[in-house]
Amino acid sequence: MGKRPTTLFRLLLTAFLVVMLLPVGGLLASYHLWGNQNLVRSLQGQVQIATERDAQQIASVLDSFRHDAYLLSTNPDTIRILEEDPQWLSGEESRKIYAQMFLTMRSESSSAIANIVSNSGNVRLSTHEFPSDYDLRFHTNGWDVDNVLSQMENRSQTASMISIRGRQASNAGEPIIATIIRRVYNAEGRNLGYVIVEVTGSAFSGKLNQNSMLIDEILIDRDTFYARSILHPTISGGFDRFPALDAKMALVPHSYVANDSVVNISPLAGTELLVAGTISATPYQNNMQRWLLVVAIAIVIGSCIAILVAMAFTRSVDQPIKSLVASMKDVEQGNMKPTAGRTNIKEIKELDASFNRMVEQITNLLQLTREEESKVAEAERKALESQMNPHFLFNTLNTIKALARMHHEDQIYQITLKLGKLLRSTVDNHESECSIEESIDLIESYLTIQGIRFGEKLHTDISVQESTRDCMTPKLIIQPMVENAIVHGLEPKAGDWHISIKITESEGMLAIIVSDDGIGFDRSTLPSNLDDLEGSSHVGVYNAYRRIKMRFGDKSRFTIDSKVGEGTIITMRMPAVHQSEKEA
Amino acid sequence: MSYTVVLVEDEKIVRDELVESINWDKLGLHLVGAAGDGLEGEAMIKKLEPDIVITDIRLPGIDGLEMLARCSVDHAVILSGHTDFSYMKTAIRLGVFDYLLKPVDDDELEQTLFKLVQRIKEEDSDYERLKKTRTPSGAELIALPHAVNNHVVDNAIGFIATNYGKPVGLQEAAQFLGLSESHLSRLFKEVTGLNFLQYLNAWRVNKSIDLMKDPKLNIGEIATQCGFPTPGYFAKIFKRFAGVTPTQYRDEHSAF
Repeated sequence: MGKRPTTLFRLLLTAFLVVMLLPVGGLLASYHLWGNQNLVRSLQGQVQIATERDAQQIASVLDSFRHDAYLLSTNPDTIRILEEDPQWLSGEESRKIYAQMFLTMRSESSSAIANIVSNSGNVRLSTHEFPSDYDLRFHTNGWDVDNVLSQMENRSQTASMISIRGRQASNAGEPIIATIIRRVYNAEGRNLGYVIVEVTGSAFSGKLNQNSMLIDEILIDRDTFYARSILHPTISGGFDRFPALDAKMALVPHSYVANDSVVNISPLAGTELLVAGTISATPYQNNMQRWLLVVAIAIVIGSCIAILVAMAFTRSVDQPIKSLVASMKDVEQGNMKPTAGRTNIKEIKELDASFNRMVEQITNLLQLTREEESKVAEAERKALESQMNPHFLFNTLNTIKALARMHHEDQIYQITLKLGKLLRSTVDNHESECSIEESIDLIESYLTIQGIRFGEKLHTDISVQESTRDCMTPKLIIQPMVENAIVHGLEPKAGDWHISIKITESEGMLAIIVSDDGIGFDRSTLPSNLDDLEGSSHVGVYNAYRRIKMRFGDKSRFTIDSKVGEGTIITMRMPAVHQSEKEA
Repeated sequence: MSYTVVLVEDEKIVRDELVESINWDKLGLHLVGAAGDGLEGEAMIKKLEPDIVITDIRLPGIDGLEMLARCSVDHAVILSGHTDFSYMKTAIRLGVFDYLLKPVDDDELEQTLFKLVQRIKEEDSDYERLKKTRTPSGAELIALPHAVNNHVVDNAIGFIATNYGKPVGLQEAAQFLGLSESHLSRLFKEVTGLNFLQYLNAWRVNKSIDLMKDPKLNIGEIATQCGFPTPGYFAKIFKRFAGVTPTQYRDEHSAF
């Protein structure tokens, strides 16, 4: 596998990005594939509903005014006056016909203008001000194709015609949306004139585009390709004036999209006209794009956070692992150092802890091996150095002892015997442990010799709790302490010497206390941790400490108290292991 | 009465010191001889039949352990500068009472000898007890239990009955029975009230009395046939049980 190993950071980042980008990518893709269509379809539906509703409103308004036109055109007074066609109307006639007109138009006279004109143009009545467009004294019907009267000629002779191609605005400036025109006939069927009702923008006010969704509503005359906006009445003319309208599309009722607008064409009931409702898709598309922008920003921010979190996490995991790896490499190279382990992550802490335990064990093992090796080397050296046979030594001592006895030299006799015992304990004893009993024998031998050497100066006090006599301890831990006390503590001191060895047992712990009233020493000249004595000149203390520590570990205590001029107390505490227990 | 002691030690100074320093009388001992090498010691032991032998191991001629093995010494104390395991093992096998290390503490030696005297006295009282239980029929000089209802001890008695004529001892019996010597010895004493060696010797003495009825056999031949290493040792053991020497006994009983 030549594959390059990936880093934790890259893995994490990839995971984060996948988790974050998958749903977002799905959203984007679905928008790209279906979002626009859905939007258009939804907008078309809304436009259609709004347009159809408004078409009904427009139709009903126009129908009501068409009825007014019908009523006016069939009113007998209207017919009579148009038949008479007087040059001037008398005041009474005038009042009567106006009354009829206002009665017919009712309150709607404010939103529509009713005009009556005779064919001759002599009679010109208007609820407002008669518009010059329809003044037949100056115009014939055929002079202007856009004039509604001209249009009327091509139409049914009796029905009303509704046109959007009439004049744009009233004399007062109010926009006119649609013009309803109807001929007036007398009883013989002769055409006398026209009734013209002009519907103003105010007729529709408040009735259309109630949710303000549509941006425009346009009336369409499909015969002449003429269109007029209802919501913006000043705009009218050909389709080219309305970007949303299309000659091919705008002539049948349906929905379509043109120039970012969604358009619905609905028929206007009872008329030839169509109504187009338009809505701009742009705000919605903008909205959608803004939303996309938000998503994009979210992705960017999310990515940044992902990178930061990944970095932070990687650091928190990577740093301790790296330091662990570094420690491992150290250990590989033989530098037995525990890892510092600055982490709060439980798993890694455990890893650090077990690594440290391992290092400690390896260290101990190495040390033990080294100690064993050095012991073997030491033993070899000693064996080489002392070519003298120990049996020769013992036999010689035996001879000296015999001589001393024969010459009644009791002190020589004693010293020889005790020296023999001391030597025996070091030469012959291959066990690593001995009982307190044996230790005490050894110490007594030692103290006997020293007692003979130093005479009455040396006062010894050995007190051993009887139950401790069969306790097993590492060998040679007490005698060296006694030897230290005499050699370092007492020998330099003038006057009487006292040394006391006390061995007690309580609560399963054995206490061995060796104290002297010698010169003492400054405790601070010894390290508080006795492990640091390794290699120093305090071989006796260090060896005893090591033997106890290796046998009992942390259950043991080794303390040294000393005061200059007062003496030294060495206390060794360790679990009491009775010989009988050990065998069982 | 006091027990006899032979001391074998090659260093004259050491030997003289022990001879002088140890308070033999007080211990109830009588030092009958002191030898300077193994061969001299062997001869002296065979001749004097001492109750106790005190010896060094490293000796000119033959070593102390070899010397003890050749003489069937019942009670020995070893004084040695050596603590070799093989020495110790052999010493234990020979039934050595104690093994003292040089330089020897005289007090310690006296204590050991004192204990040994106690032990011998115990054994003697056992012999006395045996003498008193002598059957009036005279078929057997010493009444020995032949079946004690203990499988192991009965087997040991069986071993003695078959092999008493050969130079066997506790070690061979233990080997035969697949037991440790100390275990057999303890068990035997518990069940029969006698230690194994006492029983074996008593058995041999009984057998020797049978053989004495044959006038063609001299005492030396009888001793050998009964598994005693030397006629002197036979005589000593016989006297312990019978109160008289084999020759005296034969004289007394050949009258009819």
